[in-house]
Amino acid sequence: MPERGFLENMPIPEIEDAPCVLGPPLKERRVAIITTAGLTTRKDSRFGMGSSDYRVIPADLDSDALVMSHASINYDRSGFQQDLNVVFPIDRLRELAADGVIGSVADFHYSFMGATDPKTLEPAAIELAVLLKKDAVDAVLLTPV
Amino acid sequence: MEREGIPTVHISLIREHSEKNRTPRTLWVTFELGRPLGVPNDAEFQRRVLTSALDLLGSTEGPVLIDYMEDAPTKRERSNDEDPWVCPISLASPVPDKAERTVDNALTREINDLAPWYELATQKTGRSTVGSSSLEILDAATFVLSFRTGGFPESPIKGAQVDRVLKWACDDIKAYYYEAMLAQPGAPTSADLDEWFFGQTTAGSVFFDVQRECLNKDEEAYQLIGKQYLIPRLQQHWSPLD
Repeated sequence: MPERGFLENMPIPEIEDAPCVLGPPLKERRVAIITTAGLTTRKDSRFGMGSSDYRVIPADLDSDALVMSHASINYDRSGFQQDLNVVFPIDRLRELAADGVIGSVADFHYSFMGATDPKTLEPAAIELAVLLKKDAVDAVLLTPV
Repeated sequence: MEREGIPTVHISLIREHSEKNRTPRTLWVTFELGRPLGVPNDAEFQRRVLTSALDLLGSTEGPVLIDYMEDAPTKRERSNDEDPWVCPISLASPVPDKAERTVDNALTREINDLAPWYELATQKTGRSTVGSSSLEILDAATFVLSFRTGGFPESPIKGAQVDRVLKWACDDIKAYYYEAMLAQPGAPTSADLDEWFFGQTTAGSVFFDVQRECLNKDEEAYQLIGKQYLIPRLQQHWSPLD
């Protein structure tokens, strides 16, 4: 598949191994999603090409309030058009919390625009870690597009 | 994140990237780019992917890269339908006449023809993903059309760069067409929708016209839009320039 071939051969930074942080059992964890799908609320400013900042997505947001301003046009958006959860599985997380599989769902989730040099995202990621700790998050699910 | 003390798990669509960037806990999935949870509107499928990913949080030594063994069902498995998808409504074919007014009218007519289906889609899903540009769909079309004959208008959105609004308006038009098609019976794949949009609609032919005009401009921003942000790499074969 040509599109995959193109992406597979992109230069990817080799990052020094990060430690695996310990945490409580899954059923006690508070989970947040960080997606690189370029999601923003309709009220927020959109992502530009190469943006390295992030947007906040409150957990209780109506699903109609989200739009995608990812720079790339070389991936499928029709899945997202049919169902937000195929990119941003907020309803699935709520169900897992209701069933006691996870402890709870974070109040705030976050979005980046993934078509950018991953190294430029680092300052924002460090800032996010502080926000996540304030929300008592101890598990982050990272979803790409 | 982990260095800051927050445990993470990553769903990966491209194994080669995860091998290189060595994220601490990674579940690699075979799904199409753009669908990390695999299948839209299949909560059970999504839940299996999600719990497989979250289960990796228990691992304390990384990097861990696990292959998720379940593929997303193919179109045939989903619908028992072996026939190729065709657009179920008859839109007028893209006009061979490239006169400005003719194309403008044809695009407006096409958007209006799709309007009932788009409305149905938003009722069915309770949402729409159209809205990146914040322009009404016919205004987005008028704005995009103004580029196709070499005109380069002012930004219709205060404070937003005109080249970005062009990209978002094009994203909106495409989302409007795709959502309208997805409301209809027939379960098109993403490739079906792309081939239809870029090969058979007036909107698709307008995108190629705008691409040509962007590539004719000297400004770097327009060059970039023409090269990367209008026509997917897999749809360049419809280009009248080839």
